[in-house]
Formats: sequence, C-alpha cells, structure tokens
Amino acid sequence: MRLRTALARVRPHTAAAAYGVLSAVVVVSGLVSSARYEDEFVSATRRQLEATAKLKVEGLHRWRTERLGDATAISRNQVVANLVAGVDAGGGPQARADVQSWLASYLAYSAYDRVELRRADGRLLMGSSRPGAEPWPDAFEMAASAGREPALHDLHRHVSGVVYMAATAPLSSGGRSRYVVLFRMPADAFLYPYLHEWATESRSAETLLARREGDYVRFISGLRFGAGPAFQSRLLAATGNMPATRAVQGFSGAMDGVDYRGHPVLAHTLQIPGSPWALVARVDKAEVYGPVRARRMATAVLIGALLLAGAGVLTWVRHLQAVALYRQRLSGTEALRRSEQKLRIRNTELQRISYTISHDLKSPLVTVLTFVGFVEADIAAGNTERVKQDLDFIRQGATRMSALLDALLHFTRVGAQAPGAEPVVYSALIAEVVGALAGRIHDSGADVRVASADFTLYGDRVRLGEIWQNLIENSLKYRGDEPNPTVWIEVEGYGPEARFTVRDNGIGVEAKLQQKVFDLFQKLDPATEGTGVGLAVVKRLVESYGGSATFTSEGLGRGSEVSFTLPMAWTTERAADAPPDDQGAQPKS
Amino acid sequence: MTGEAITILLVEDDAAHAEIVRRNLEQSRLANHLIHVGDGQEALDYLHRTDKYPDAVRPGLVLLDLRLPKVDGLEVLREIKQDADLASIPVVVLTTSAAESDVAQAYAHRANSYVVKPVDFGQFVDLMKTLGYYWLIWNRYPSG
Repeated sequence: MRLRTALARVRPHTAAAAYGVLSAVVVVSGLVSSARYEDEFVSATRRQLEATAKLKVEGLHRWRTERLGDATAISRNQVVANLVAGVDAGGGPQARADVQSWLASYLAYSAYDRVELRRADGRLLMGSSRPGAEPWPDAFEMAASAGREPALHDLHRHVSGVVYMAATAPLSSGGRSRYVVLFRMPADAFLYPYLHEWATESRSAETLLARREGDYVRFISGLRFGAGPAFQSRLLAATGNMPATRAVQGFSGAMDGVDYRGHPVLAHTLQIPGSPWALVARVDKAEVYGPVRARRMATAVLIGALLLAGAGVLTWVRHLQAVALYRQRLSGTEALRRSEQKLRIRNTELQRISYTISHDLKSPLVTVLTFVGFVEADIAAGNTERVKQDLDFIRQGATRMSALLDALLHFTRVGAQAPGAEPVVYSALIAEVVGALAGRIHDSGADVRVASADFTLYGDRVRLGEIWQNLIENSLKYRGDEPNPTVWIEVEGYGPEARFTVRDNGIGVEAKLQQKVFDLFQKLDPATEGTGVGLAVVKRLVESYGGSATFTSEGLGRGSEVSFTLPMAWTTERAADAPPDDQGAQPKS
Repeated sequence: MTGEAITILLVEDDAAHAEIVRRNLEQSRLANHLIHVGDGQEALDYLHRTDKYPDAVRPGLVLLDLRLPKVDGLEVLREIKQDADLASIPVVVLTTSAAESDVAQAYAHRANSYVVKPVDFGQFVDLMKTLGYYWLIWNRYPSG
C-alpha cells in the first residue's frame, strides 16, 4: 500500500521521463550485450578453428614423419640389405622365409596394407599384403624411379578409388642401391578418419586437405558436402576468395570466405610442413551466426518485454494516479455533499422553528393586542363586566407567551454543545430521575417499572436525565383514564447499539399524527398542560449525543413507546450480586 | 342588500382568538349564528355531519385557523375543497403567520380569502362585508 501510495504521487511527466530513460538504457545495453556476445562467439569459433587446424597439422605432420621414419630405418639398416642380397643371390629357404616374415611383420603392427621388396629395376622379389588388398600396379615404376634416399609418395588415387599413401626405402649394398622396400597405406586407415574428427559436434564444420596441381586446387581428402570421395573435386586455383585456394597459395591464418559449395564460411588455413598439403578448417557462417541471431532475437524479445513491462508499470502508475485523483475528488464531493445535507437539515429545522415561533409566539401576542383594543372600547362603552373578561384574556395571553418563550429558550439550549461530559451510571441516573418525579408519580397513581440494566452512559448528567424526565412526564400526562397507569423503563441490546425505551399504557397516538409528535409546540391534546416542547427536547437531546429517537404507538388508547439509541453508551460488567431484572426501582407509592 | 341568517363555522383552537372573532362578528351584525370548534378533526366531523354533529347546519362560511391540533388547517381546507358538496362553501383562512409559503399554500388549496391576525376591528368589518356579498349570493340561489 505504501508503494502504491508513493507511486500514486509520482507526477505523470516524471514517470514518462523515467520510462524514457529506462527504455534507452534497456535498448542500449541490449545492443551492447548483443554485439559483445556476437564478437565473443565469433572469436571463440575462430579460436576453435585455429586450434583444430593446428592440432590436425601437428598430427598429420607426425604421421608423415613416422611413415618416412619407417622407410629411413629400413634404408639405413645394412643387415637388412645384406639379408635381402643374400636371398636374391639364391640363399636358402630359411633366409627367404625370414625376409618374408619380416615384411609381414609390418602388416601386423601398423596400418600398411601391402609391403613389397623389389629390385632397383622394379622387379618384384617378394611381397606381403593384407587379405583383400588392392593390387599395386604403380609399385614397379615407383621402385624403378626410387633414388638413394627414402621418400614419401604423396596421396594418389588407385583405379579402385582407394586413396593411398606410399613410402619407398632403398636398400644400399656395396655403395649403390640394389633393392627397394615399398610400403603402401590406405588413407582411410588413419589419415582420413583423423582428419574428419571434430572435437565438438557441428552441423557444418570440417577439415580438409588440398594441394596445388598446376592451375588447380585438388581436394585430396573427402569433402563433407562434396559430391564424391577424395580427389573427385578440383577447382581453379584462381577461384575467388576460397579458403582452399588461398591455402594452396601459401596463406596461413584466419579468414572469411566462400567454400566449395559457395557458402560463406569462417576458416583457418595452415600448411603442413615438408609436404604439398594445405589444411583448411572451416565452418559455415550460417552455423556460427545462427546462435548469434537466436541470441539477438532473444535480446530483442527481452528488450520488447522490458519495454512493455515498463509501459505496463507506467500505465499502472497512471491508473493509480487516476484512482487517487478520483478518490480525492470523490471524497471532496462526498464531504461537500454531506455538509450540504447537514446544512439543509439544519436549515429546514431552522425554518420550522421560525415558522413555529411566528405562529405560536405571535398567537398570544395577537390576543393581548386585540383585547387591549377591546378594553378601550369596553371602557368607552362603560361595559365593566366585559373589561374584566378582557383583562383575563390579556393575562392568559401574556402568561402563555412567557411559558412559550421559556420553552423555546430551553429547546434552543439543549441543541447546543453539552456543557460537561462524564461517565454516568444508567441505573443511578434513572433512580435519580424517578426520585425527582416522585411527587407527580404519586399524584398520577402510576406504577413506574425500571428494568435493571448495567450500562454506563457518557455525557452531561443533567441533560441525560432530562431525556427520561421528559418521557416519564409525558407518560404521566397522557395516561388518560387508565385505571392502572404504568410506565416501563427498559434497555434492549448491547453496547452502542442498545435501545433505551420508555413505554406506557396511556392514550397513545393515532397513526396519522405520529409523525408530528417530535415537532416543536405540537400538543396532541390542547387541553393538557405544557407547551408541547417535551418530545422536541428529547429528540434534540438524543440527536446531540449522536443517537436517534423513534415514536411508536399501536393507536389511540393503546399506549405509546419512545425508544432511542445513545452511541456513547457501553455495557458494564454485571456485578455478581446484581439484583434480578424487573425490579421496581421506584415502587408505586 | 339584506342579509339572511347564516351559520358561520369557526375552526380555532385558541379560546381568546375565538372570542375575538365572536366579538367582531357581533359588531358587524352580519351573522348571528357562530359555531366554534377547537380542532381540525372536529371541523371535519361537523362538515361531514359525523360523530357529535349528526344534525349540523351547513355553514355559509368557514373561518379556518391554519395551525390546529390533530388535523391542521390546510388539511381541513383541502378536504372541504375536494368534497363536491362542501367545495362551494367560502373559506377564509385566519392565521398569525404572514409567511409567504402559508399564503401560497392556502390559495393553492383554494381558500377564498386569507387574513393575517391580528385583524383590527375595521379590517374585520370590511372583510365580513366583502364576504357578505359573496355568501349572500350563494344563499339566494342555493346550489345543490
């Protein structure tokens, strides 16, 4: 509620400005965050490409070195050369078997699929191969053209489609090369699987090998999105901004380009040392920027949501303000309406009083004035009998006027603020009032029955007492010819809702006159004594203490009941030894 | 202009005021039959010939005080003017109040005349004379 109150006080343009600033901050930080994320993500991808490329190049280089190492180890081994020379010279079957098993051992412990021993002129002496290995038609030429040093023969494609790598190890005996050991290994055995491994899962990433063949770039490894296996594709070396073409031209490093499919890619190219190979590690930009775009989208959605939420808050604040304003206006209007109503009631009351005064006070004055005129006329006419009568009327009028003025004064006084306020014990108050009226109660022969009730009232003792006094007096006055006039003084209910009642079995009031009983100077029976101010005073007293009074009567001859509330009354704890209900506080005397 | 015997109904709760009216009428010699009732209910009883007044004489004029116990003057006036039999009886409203609302209400209820007390002697005589013409005409040509 406090937040709501605080928010309701925010001025509209302040709220709008705050919203504007908030929006700007959100948008800018969203853009910055998005850009930074993009940078980070792309550079992370580049680092990954570079790391992959370096790793592969290292592995490939080691592999090549090992293959060349195998060849070199044999080539330098004089024992092997002598053994081979011995076998060629027609050595025993044991020597031949030893060489044969030596060759076979290469197949057992490495990935070679065919090992051959040939003379330097190319002719085959013996060989060993894995079951199902392809024939090796190039071997003759390879042996014949082998120099004095061990060498690797670059990847080449067999007619069967299998790509091989080969090595030649010349065996020197007596200062010249007389034999050559040839090793052949399918690229599928290690090279290609190793090349195609990718550390992380990716929809488009790949590493590939290329080498320059004249004006062309030859892809010497299989392409992930290529139409066929290795060696199937080649491109003009001058073709555009392709990582493969740049790589075979000697470029090493990160680059953006277009791949063999024409798709934009991020790539890292490296040269494999001591080889014609160039390595390309690449990934489609689409894959890289996909998450960036997704992230950008998410950021945009987030920003939108934040702005909407901000607008929502702003609207809410405006709503609160409108509500607060409306409430304020309403309460103002309500207060005004109430005070207007109060004023109207007061005004009506005042009009009624002034009307009453003009009628009732003027009435005896008219009598006095007129009879003064009659006195003069009667004296002039010598009618002394009538003069006496005239003077009686004058006296009556003046007396009546005096009584009315007293009553009026009394009536106007009781409406004013009560002079004192103190706790007044109800039962004690009633006992006092009844005691004060003892004489008149006795004269009327009435029985006043007070029901015991434990209440405490708060107000002026004398004025509170006057309420009951007036009512009891009325009951006595209008007892009619009831043989057993009785007045009941009771309380019903609890606390501030309690209703105080004074009831009698007197003459009652017929229904159509009941609305007038509380009016000033209204007497039901002109024959009775008094000015007709009693019930008007009661009503005014009760209202001055915030209560309301009602009059009920079953009709003429059926008694009357006045009941009223006094909101400042409260129930007090009933004492343990309290007397029982309906005990006659002031017994009929 | 010769007056005939006419019954005047005076509705007045104040005995002194009733005496004033009685003496004025006595002086004007226009009426020799004054019926005085003390409240509105009694006036209606008289006019409707109910209760104590089964043989009431139809009055030629009603002098009506406005402020009366039980049934007030305006109610009596309204009853008279709404009753087809009584509507033709001229009613003079007598009151101590010159309040405009009272005057307006009295005329709204079709009072024939309105007199603010105290009426001095001469004023009362003039009023009676004026009304005398009026009810004399009615008495000469009795309506149903």
